Amino acid sequence: MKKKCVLAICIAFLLCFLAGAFAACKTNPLNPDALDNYLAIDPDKEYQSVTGFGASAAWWAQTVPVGSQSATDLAESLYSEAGIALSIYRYNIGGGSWDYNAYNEHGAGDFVVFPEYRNTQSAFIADNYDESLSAAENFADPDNYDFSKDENALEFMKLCATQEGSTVERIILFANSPHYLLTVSGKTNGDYAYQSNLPAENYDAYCEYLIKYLDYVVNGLGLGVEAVSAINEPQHSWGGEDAPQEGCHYEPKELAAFYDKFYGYLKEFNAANGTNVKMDVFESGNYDVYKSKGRVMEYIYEMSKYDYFDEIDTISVHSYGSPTSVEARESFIYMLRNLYGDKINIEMSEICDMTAGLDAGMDSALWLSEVMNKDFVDLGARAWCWWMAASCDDYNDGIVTWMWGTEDGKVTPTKRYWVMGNYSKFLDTGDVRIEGSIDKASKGVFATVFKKADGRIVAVLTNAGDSAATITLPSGYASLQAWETSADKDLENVYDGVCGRTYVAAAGSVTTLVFSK
Amino acid sequence: MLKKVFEKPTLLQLVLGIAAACFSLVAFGLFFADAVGDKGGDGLPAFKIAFDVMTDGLHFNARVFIAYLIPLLCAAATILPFKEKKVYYAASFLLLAAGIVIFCIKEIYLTKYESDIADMYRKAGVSIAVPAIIAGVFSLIASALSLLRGMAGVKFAVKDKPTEGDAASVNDDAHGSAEECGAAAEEKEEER
Repeated sequence: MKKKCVLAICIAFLLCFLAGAFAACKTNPLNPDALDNYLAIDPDKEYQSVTGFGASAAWWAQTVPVGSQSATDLAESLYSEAGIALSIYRYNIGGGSWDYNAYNEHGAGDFVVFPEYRNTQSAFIADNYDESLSAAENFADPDNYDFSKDENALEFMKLCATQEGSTVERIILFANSPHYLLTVSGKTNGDYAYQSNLPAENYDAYCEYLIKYLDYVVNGLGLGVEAVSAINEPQHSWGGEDAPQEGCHYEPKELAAFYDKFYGYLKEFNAANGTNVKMDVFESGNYDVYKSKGRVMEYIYEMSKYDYFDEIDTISVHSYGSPTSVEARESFIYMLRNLYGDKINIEMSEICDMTAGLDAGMDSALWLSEVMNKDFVDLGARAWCWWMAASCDDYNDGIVTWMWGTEDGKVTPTKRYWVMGNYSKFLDTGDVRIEGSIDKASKGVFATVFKKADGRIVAVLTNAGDSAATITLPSGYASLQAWETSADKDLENVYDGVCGRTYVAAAGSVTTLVFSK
Repeated sequence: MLKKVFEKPTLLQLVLGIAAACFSLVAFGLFFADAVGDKGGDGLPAFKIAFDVMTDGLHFNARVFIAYLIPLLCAAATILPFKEKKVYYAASFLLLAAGIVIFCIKEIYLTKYESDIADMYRKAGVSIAVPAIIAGVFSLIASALSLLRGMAGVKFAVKDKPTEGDAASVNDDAHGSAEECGAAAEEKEEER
């Protein structure tokens, strides 16, 4: 009896082991020969369409001198084919923190070199505020605006959009905080953590403020605007004495109610101007549905109670929180699809490497490639935007380094810049992500695969490992071109010829492979 | 003192103890590991969520204490040959409680929300992860094995069956040695 017990237990463990071993032996039908590091693709299995790549012009663009060499070099490096051909320009509507010099000390750590760090200009003339009138009346009066106060940022946006060979296709106006005269705290951040800093009675005034900016960009500068994003990372605390930058917390119900108000203003503007400017919602700080303060599904749920939600087909999220987590992305998408089907598309509109100590090399760039891969594959993102394009700090929040405010300042790309280019220079609006991966991959080897309108396949191949990886390529393609970013190459064309059976991906590299038939 | 505590277990007790330890360690490994998440969106990172609910307002690191120390103590209790069998019953109870908590983890998670938000999460497909279900089952198995271990009193080393008259003198404690039992049996035989 006792021996039978022991025998039964041993058999149970053996069965468990065999089941696990069997599960590990499944073969990918796209790789029937079970080859190692095989680029397995299925061009007929399509996923989301690409709608662009971009970066934010917050803070730094205010310091770009109009007509300067810096302006020319920055515009060319970011928004032209000579650079990395970004297509999305994100202009920051400031909350006016420059008026009271809010953030020159806060968050000023050792790595900050620019004294007015993170303050923003505002076109609203605070001295004109008439206490005898309502906030909405004040902010609706066009005579209370002077857009020359933010001339540098506005003219730089115009330069990027109108320069010869410009690749700008989409302009998005986004705000981190309402104007400080509209907030409960009287500042562009709350007095305490999680303070809802925009009172309901000022919703109209804030809408007027946003519409004034929209009107100036569309009718004053003559630029097409795709969307206005009024709220940014609403679930975060954005308050307290140590608040490092502009931000405004909204509870889910408050956010949904504000959007209802703003949607009406946008409809009116579009009707009056013959435009089709959309309302960008809701720049969620993350998509971590299971973190206690993530709450992303609650915000979407509250919005869904309003009629305007029927017109919403895209939600913007940021990849902070769990930037390399497949699980966090899949959880969010799973819940979104269960509740709203395929109605909602996703755009990833902000991320940066939040580590101090500038890493202009491949470590941070390989991390970036991993985030981009997971955002396209696991999040299903259609567009992808970095945070600040240009940074002057000993920090990893930019893709180029440039000393703010300088006229002839040198624009120095980081490896992050080039790796973004591995995607943005080769993918056009309308290109489609397809089924594709590295099957039986070595550690750190992965790929994001797209199909262009003319049938060419673009595979962005990353080898984050310490040794070169020999990738077995799919058959049926006549020619191959390869552009590599690595420690000693900056998006360099390393191959252009017949498509062989294998390609050797250098250690610590990101390579764009373009297959043609 | 140590000899009384760490007395040699019988073979069955040893096997049950090892099995209980294995099941509980695997259970908590599954439950704690990243794999107990929402892979493919069919479950919860249950452990982390339960902590959010259970530790709100607490000021010490309850996460570490509840999550790691207690289960490890349970696992250790299932294998160490303590003389006092109530230790195994206590371990069995804790493993049972852990298993029940795991199966209730979804509802624990949703208790902090207003009812319409909780309904939204239910419609969104929030459910317990398959690895967490396995962890719960393993925890219950470990609990049962630990209970059996506490009740086990059979000794492998005894060659002669005790007579009726000797039954009262047989050491019911699972950790009695074969020599002592043999010597006690011989003594009884001589007295007769």
